[in-house]
Amino acid sequence: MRSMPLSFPVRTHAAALAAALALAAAAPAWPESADRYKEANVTADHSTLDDLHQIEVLTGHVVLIKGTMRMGGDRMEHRQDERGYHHYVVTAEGGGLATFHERRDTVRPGVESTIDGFAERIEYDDQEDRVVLERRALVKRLENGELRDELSGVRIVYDARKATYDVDGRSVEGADGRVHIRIAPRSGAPGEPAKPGGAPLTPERALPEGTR
Amino acid sequence: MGERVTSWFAIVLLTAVLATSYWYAQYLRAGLGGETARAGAVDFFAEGIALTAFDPLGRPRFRLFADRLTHFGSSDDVDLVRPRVLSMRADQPQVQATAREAHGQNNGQSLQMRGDVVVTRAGDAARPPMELRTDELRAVPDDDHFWTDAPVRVQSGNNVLRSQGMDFDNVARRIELRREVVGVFPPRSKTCVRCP
Repeated sequence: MRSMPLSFPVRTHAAALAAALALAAAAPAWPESADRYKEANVTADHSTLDDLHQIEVLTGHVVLIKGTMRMGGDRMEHRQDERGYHHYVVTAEGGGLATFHERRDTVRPGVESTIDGFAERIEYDDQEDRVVLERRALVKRLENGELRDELSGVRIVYDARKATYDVDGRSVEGADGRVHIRIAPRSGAPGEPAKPGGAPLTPERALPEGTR
Repeated sequence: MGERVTSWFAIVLLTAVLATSYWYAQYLRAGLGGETARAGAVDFFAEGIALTAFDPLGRPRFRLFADRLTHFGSSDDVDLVRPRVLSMRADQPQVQATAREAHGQNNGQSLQMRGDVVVTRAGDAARPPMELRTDELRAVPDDDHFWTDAPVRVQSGNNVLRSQGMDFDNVARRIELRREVVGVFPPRSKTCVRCP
């Protein structure tokens, strides 16, 4: 019997967090640890620096590359706090999505694990080494280019140091309050790509009362 | 014998004047000739100048230094060699602009700076010092306003941005990089947070 990808909506924040932590445990690859110590290279069509508040706004085809990490969008705010840490907020315009990509440290020889994120707003700071994806957020983890896991929700926090996700479906008014997680089979034939779909689970029925 | 010496002296003097005139004409054509030719006749020049401009309340607005100033009487334009402009606004961080040469119009109300142009803004507790480098820059010193269409390099602390064209308004404290922006933001240094 072949394993099928698991796809299930999760109603609560806590449940989503638990599922995400479980997901992280199932995929113990760490992010490219050297990225946060590398310089960031940015390109854009235009930039305005507010010299008073030390906030820089880059617009038009914005791309940031920091080691293996890459972020892209239509607009990026950058500021450096008084301790020297950099903070970036990338957004997309016209209904598009900002993008995030990072390669993780190799754990298993021959397996390259990468993270791809999409959202209307993506925030990153190199103090926490944390990525916050907001509104129509989607995170995919791939191994050698094959989809292994996928998360979607209103807000996803990807902690690059701990390699964990915190997914929230209720942060924004009007959201359906559901987080969607798909975990690809681990026992499939080597090289077999993970397929979308799969039997949906409804874990909210099994959640204990009072779980938020 | 005395008459012969006098004749030779006159010839040498005349040759020197002609050579100087020729050199100056070539210099004008090659460098600031476009502006200076239109600027009219030179009525005076000064070397090692230091000028201070004041506002109506008697407060210094900016100081101008140059190795040499050539003034054109009919237009009130000036040519400057190795100029240095220093803003003196008490409520703004000090800004300094230097270049190899400059042409000033309307009694210095606007400046066109050329060659190794460097503009620096002093740092303070909240902001690191900033430096702009380009080959051409226009400035309105009274307004603390600087702009260029040429390639420009902006360094704020350790962060470096390059662009084609720039507009720097030191009153609004805003820098606009117009096109093809490329930046490098080094990671935080443990020993030096906002290095000059």
